Amino acid sequence: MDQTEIFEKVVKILTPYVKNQKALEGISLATHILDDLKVNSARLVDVVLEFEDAFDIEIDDDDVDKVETVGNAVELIEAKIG
Amino acid sequence: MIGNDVVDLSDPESWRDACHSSFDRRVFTPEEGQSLSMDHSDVQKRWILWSAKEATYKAARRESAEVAFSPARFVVDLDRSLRGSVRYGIRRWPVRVQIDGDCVHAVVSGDEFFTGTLSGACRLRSAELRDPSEGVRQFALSSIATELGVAISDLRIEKVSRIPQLILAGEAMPVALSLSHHGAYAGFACRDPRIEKADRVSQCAAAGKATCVSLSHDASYASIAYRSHVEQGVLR
Repeated sequence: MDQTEIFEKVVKILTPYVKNQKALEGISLATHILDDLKVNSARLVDVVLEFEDAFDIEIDDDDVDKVETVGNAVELIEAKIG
Repeated sequence: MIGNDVVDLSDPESWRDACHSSFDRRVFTPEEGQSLSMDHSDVQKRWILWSAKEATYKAARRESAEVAFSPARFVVDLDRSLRGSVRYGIRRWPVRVQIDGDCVHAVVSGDEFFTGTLSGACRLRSAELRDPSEGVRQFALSSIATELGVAISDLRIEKVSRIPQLILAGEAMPVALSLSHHGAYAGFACRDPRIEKADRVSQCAAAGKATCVSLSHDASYASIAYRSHVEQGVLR
């Protein structure tokens, strides 16, 4: 799975939790998940659990802590699926 | 060191089946999870525990960037009045949770008796719901201005590195401020600037720094510190 495919899947997972639709329209690797998309922290837990299901990976809390942008999430998933 | 978190129980995000099926296992300790499954009002309890953890994370993260967003590592211990503490590693923070209708509001403070903590939660007006971030700032400014007896126009909130900073008459206040909103509700918590200053004066006095005390231009701060310490049992 290449980075573009991961990005598209990540955006699809994030979409139901996004509060700022304008930021979603212009979403990129640099988009901040909490600050720009306004995903709240409880929903971030759901997002991480959906990443685990969708990509069949395990993401521990220390990994989650490093994910601020969509690009961070894509890089993390890319590294996990090898 | 301050943190707060608000949860709107009426928001669809808070409903029983809104979370991922593994949410509770990921977020709560086995003991917390067990208490949830035994409690018929578990939806409310879930968000009471969550808000206590989240408020503590916000407070702890200010102290150390090493603190991870790892809810299960924040262990909540509340009594029936919803006061207690949250433990993270060897640290323990005082916490109190208040419920008003559908609003769950948790406040964490370094001050065990919350005597030096200003806090509150409110339902946002429909116009404010279009921009809840602005709504929570206005609520906090209005509440703090009333408490301090200053004009709201003298106060403003700026974000510095994503952390809200209280500015009074153009001067950055050396106090922690935490803002939160969810659904139709907003909440804030702030270290009382008067107590903060009073504590600094009393610390100077305790250290024998007479110059510092004499430079304190407002004697009322000292009396506030004295009262605060008496209430906390530090002084008699």
